[in-house]
Amino acid sequence: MQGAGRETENVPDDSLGNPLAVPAPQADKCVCRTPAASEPSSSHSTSNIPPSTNSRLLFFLLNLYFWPLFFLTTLVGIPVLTLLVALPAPFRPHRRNMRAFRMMIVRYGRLVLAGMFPLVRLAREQPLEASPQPCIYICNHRSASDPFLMALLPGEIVQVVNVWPFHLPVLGWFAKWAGYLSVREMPFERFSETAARYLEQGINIAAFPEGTRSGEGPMGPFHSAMFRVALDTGVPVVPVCISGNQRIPPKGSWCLHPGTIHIRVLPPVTAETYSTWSPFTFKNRVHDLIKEELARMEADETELTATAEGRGWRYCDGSEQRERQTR
Amino acid sequence: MQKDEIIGMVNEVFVDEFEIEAGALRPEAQIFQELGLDSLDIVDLIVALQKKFGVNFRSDERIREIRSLNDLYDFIASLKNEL
Repeated sequence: MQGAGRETENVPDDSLGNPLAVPAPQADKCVCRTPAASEPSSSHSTSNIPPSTNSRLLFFLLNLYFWPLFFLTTLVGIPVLTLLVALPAPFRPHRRNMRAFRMMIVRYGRLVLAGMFPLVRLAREQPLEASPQPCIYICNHRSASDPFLMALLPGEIVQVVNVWPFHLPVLGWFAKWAGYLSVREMPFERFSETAARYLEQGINIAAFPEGTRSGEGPMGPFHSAMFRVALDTGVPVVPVCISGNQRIPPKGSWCLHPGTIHIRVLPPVTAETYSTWSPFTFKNRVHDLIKEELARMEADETELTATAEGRGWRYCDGSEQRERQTR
Repeated sequence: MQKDEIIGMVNEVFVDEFEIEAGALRPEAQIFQELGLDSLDIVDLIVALQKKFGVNFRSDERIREIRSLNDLYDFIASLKNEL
């Protein structure tokens, strides 16, 4: 289901024209020259490798430029973008204003992601056919950077969040105003009705059904709330696999580590497939789909990293050989 | 009703309603952590068990104490004894 017909995209060279893109590694395409020693492979095995001086330097450099950019983006970008949404607001219907507001959050998310370039790169893969809209994006959750990565998914999105993000200054307020759903703070019936209303309006919902970050550990079990919403509404569920960001930043830390984040959007699971499943079966099948695909992605990563023979850099499509010849 | 009979019927609910393999249904298995049920699945479980055993225990406070399958077997056994 996952392997064939995949289109690799440079991310996000679209509306912002930013330079984050690294095409995802493929056997016949080359691309990446990425610091592998400093990048924790998604196999989770490299986290125990002592960092070299070079990777330590890159680590400090990344945090040195990212955090000022992040605060600048937040302090300047958010007011400017808000103003752009707020000025025409009295002359537009509420629904259009909310759409503009959510798209503003998407632009802010992309700006933040752009701020990590070039020491953190992004690679997105998705099926040849675009994800159906509206849909429910079901993502694995390893890091605090995951909610920002939702800015790379197409369409207007409302996220399902835990309690604590709502209490963050600025970002939490904006999440609340954008109608993000706090699944633990509302009765399931109200949550389900609100989610169904969003989907009716053509708004996608992105959820992390593990409920908490798994960090460098194994993927946690899924909660069934969003799968119940899918069964009630019949909208497609699109599994999204995120790999490589377990240390961008690691759980319990705000320090980013250089690396490449891979986002692989899987083909949708449609109502024709899941309508006979129970919520429990549904959540477990999607859980297994994502888990198996993550294992494939991590195997790819390990293979690519191994080609660099521990020199701290990985290449593909012959770049490694050329580099070796010049040594 | 014998405990073995209760265990068999409870396990049937897990196999039929949740497609959990019979081999995973050890008495000490934790319902949330090991079998992977969440709070919403518990509601489905209660409905299925009520139907299976013909009892109504949704508002029984003791269900909050249930953690493992063994706790669940004991709870159902005590319910049946009370009838």
